[in-house]
Amino acid sequence: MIGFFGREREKPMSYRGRVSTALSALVVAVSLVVEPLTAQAQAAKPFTPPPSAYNPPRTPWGDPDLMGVWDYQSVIHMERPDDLAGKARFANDAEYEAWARVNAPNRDSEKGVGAYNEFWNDRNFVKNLNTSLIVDPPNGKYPPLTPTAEQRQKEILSRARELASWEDYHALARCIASQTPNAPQAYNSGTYVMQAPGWVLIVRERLDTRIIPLDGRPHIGQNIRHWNGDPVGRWEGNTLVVETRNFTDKQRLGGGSGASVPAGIPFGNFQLTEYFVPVSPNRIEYYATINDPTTWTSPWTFNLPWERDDDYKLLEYACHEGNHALANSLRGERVLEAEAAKKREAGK
Amino acid sequence: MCSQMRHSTTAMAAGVVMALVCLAAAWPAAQSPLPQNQIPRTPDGKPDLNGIWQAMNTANYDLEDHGAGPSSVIVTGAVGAILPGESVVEGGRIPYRPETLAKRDENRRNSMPGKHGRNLEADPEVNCFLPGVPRATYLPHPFQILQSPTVMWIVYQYSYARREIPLDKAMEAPYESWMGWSNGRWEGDTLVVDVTGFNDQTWFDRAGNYHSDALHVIERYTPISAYHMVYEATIEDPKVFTRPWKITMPLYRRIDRNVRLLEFKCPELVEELHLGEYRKISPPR
Repeated sequence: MIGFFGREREKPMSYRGRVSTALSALVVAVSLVVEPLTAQAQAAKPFTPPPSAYNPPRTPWGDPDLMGVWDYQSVIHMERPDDLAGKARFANDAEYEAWARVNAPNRDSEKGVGAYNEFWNDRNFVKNLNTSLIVDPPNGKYPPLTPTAEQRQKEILSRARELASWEDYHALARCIASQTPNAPQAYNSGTYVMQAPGWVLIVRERLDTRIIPLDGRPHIGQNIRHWNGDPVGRWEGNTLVVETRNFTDKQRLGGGSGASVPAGIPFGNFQLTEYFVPVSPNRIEYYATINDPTTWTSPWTFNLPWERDDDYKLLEYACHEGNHALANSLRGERVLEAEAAKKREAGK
Repeated sequence: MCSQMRHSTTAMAAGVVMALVCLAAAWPAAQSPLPQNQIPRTPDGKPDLNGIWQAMNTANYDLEDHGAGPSSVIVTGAVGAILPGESVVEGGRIPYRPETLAKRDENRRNSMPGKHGRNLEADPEVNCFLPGVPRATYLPHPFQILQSPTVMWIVYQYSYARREIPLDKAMEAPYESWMGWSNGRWEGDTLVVDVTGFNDQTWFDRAGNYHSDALHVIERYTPISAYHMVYEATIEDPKVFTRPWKITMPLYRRIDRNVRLLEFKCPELVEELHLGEYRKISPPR
């Protein structure tokens, strides 16, 4: 809006000018929507989570009571590994555990000089017999990107490699936000669910607090964009269903820890639907469906089991307050550039 | 229904009535229409503090008496000016020890350094650092309380500030932090929160009022109507002050249609300030 007022001050736009701008914007918007919708129409019916017979306890005001600390560490990746192609589930616990023993990071390992070796990672894996977190498409892979999105992803990633500014780092490194929806991450994945009449609060130890109204209100206006989107929720039986819109396009370099969406995908057109299905006193099956016909040729869904962890105490995550890494990294890039320029100069 | 109503062409009179109904439905307290002076209660009989609250004062500029003042950034003119306000401190003045007052004055001079970088001598709010307690309460942002019989959460709109306040099992602060370690209990209709375990990095306001890591804050939230609370914070810090002192202010329930906290993720908003000198290409002017 600031830009709009700024332009108007410099050169007032005629009424007709404004209408034609609006019209052309509308045409673009319609063409953006129509084309992928056709593609989507060929896709399968919308995902619905498997029902559960479990009946959770109630809050004093009658909602299903999911309060407490949950965790969702997992050895299962978003996408199914190629050596498990065609196998959607492990046959039994023993097969899962055998696979996990080989594939889980070894917490005793202190080898390697990466940012964090396994010594630092607090692992509390939740058992999951699925061989990928993605359950739809059934092959356990992200659906193909639209050609436009593929091109855009390439551009975003190649630009980000310049590390020209903080905008080329993912939001977590900037201490702004993790991704919504959140995938397993190496550490600090404790998540507090708090409830009050008309509200559900989801507190991630790392940075984000999602406050979900349940009173049937509409989403915030289109011009307000959030790193974690704007959620509104409702109870369908014992399942908490949360619809989230209004993501900012600046959320686009997730990639790293906790990211369910590959790097280079702007979130702006995401329509996220989440289902929190309590299946036992200690387990919630969490499903997230992302629909963005401008990015993917079909909607896709992942399933992440959450397990209650009463011993987990969420602590303060003062990330930005101690974030010297970002400045040091950027400064390092500029030093390297200056040195390279000096070498070029000397070589002349 | 309330949202649909906005788009309908209902006659204006009916619209006004509906608007009042919808406004009344905006807060749980009013679901059964309570007289203004009656405190809403949860099923366990405690005052129901659930909702979105905000202070409406200028304490964040300066807890003590302060007149209007010019912006520290000349080009922001009246937009950045200091808004005047009377002291929220009981007795008017903060009882600094003679040797600690100079540090407050130095803080005040340095609060807005007017230069790029991560200026640690500046007001922590300039850097978007966590605000601490009680400052989180009177920042110019709303905050939301979620209440259960055993725990309260307070989520502040500012940055990622939030607090878990257990009511049933007090626990000693296990470490130092920006927001401190909170333990809550009910004393009659007053929620009392005892906060310890602070670091020495936060300030009480933009005027440089400060504390050490010996800070101990006792907050009291006392509802006086469905829409108002009295907020008191007693501040103890023998390293900096000669005696405990207290601030008092009303908190107001926000009743705007569909009121909710919006994102104010200020780490993003200070990146140009903190990191601008390391940009590869200067931003377009």
